[in-house]
Amino acid sequence: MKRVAVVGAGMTKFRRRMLETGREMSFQASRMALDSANMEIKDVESVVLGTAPDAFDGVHMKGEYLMDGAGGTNRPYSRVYVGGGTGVFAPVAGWWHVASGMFDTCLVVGEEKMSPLRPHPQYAFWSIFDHTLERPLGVTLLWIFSLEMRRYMAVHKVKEEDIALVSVKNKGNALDHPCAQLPARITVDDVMKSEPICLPVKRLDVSPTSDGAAALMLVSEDVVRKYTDDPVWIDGVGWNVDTQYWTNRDLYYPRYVEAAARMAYKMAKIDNPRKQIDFAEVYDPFDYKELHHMEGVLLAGKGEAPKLTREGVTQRDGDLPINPSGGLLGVGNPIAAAGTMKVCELFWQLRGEAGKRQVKKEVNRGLAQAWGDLLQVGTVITMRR
Amino acid sequence: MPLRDRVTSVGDLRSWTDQIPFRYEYTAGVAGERFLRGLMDGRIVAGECGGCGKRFLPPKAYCTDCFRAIDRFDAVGQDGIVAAMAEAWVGFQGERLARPKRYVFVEFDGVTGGLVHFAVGPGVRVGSRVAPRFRPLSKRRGSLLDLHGFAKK
Repeated sequence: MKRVAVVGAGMTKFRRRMLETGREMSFQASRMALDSANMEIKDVESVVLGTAPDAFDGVHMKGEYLMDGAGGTNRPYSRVYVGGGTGVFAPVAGWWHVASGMFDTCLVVGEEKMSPLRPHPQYAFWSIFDHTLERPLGVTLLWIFSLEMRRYMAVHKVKEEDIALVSVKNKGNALDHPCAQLPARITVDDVMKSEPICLPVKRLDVSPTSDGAAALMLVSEDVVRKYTDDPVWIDGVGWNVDTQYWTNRDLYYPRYVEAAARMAYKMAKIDNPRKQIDFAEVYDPFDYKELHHMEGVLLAGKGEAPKLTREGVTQRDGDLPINPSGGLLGVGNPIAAAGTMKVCELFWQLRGEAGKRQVKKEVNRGLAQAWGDLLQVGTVITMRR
Repeated sequence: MPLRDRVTSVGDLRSWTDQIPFRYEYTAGVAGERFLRGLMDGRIVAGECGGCGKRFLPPKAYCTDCFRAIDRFDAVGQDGIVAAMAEAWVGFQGERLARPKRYVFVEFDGVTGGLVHFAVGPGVRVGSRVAPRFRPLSKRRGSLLDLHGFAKK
């Protein structure tokens, strides 16, 4: 198996509504990734694009629709999709294109344009529920996440104020991100008093809906020195999908995320993640999800993440920085692009190119994780210098 | 087992009808905006790559060949050539049409791609030289339908 390096990354601004089409956003991110890798499109041997349901962009066969903006025309091209986990799964798929020895280079693109859907992108999620047991109740994903948040709070006796600290931290971190949609200096009180959406979830507990794209350039160990003296290596990948019967597992803990993390750790020979991973970009579409996922990827014990957050361990200058980018809560949440943005952040942080977002301590290994479908998929990638 | 094998009335089952009633408000995008504004002005606009010089219709914001951003948009010549033609007697929802719709694919000199639209008037064939027929200025809305279609020159 070939070693696979990331040699370039790029992303568009994340915004509530962009003039650019999904194709045009894909192009912008792809071009930036190529430029940062000192590569041209002729150097791209394969392309993987990740994008979530066609229902968002409102284009059936969205993978085919987006492909020429992602440089996929007349190349071995594929679209991958595992719900909200797609943004990290696309680089995983890019990894296997190169690790297998099939290709020396692979351009990976994550794209989402959620703004066309009316009255609101959340509406698209209603139809992913079971038509017999759930749809008659008029459910949305916020409804199910609220159940999960409350279950997590109940099992570990976590206060809403502790969860709100995540939103305060991430929106604050995003103040240093040039592409961020919702950077803000807010307080726990602001979160607590924000508009109720589906309690206990309130407006400032949730990431926004967004348009955006992000891209990465992957190359094999055989050609990496043609493009850079400073590669960042993908050393672990993992993914896991649980049953869609979300009622058949305890919502307090994402066991499928743990399975995905363990798969990546086995490959990367990580036996003590808390000591061997310097920082992480875990999936934070809601503030409680950051805590949930820190525990799922074994960077915190069960119920320990709120305490680490309260003690400042997860701050950018803390011992275990979590979401130094600003995460989905601050940078924005164009579903597949958001996960890929997290892998871009690993690249920039590990190369020392994150600018004002650069974490204070020296970092040699980072983890990115995404999550989605009906509370059922975990995707994980670890990268190191 | 297919429903029809055993059940002749769906009403006998615990079944229901439903729909996924999405609606959308799309942006035309950077290049699409140029194209639609061009139609409002009575022009068919293509994009030209500053890198390789290739011209694209419909215009794109990037070159699919050399993968450079495109920021030059100009009108193509008014005359095109019909490259292909189709005559539809069934609509897109399966309905029979009282009068057929005639579609043409029109290419323009020096341009990669082309435009699909309606044939207007008699005498339009594959190989015909055609010109666009626009709606009156007051009725144009920045839509593909600002164009009636293409008529024989």
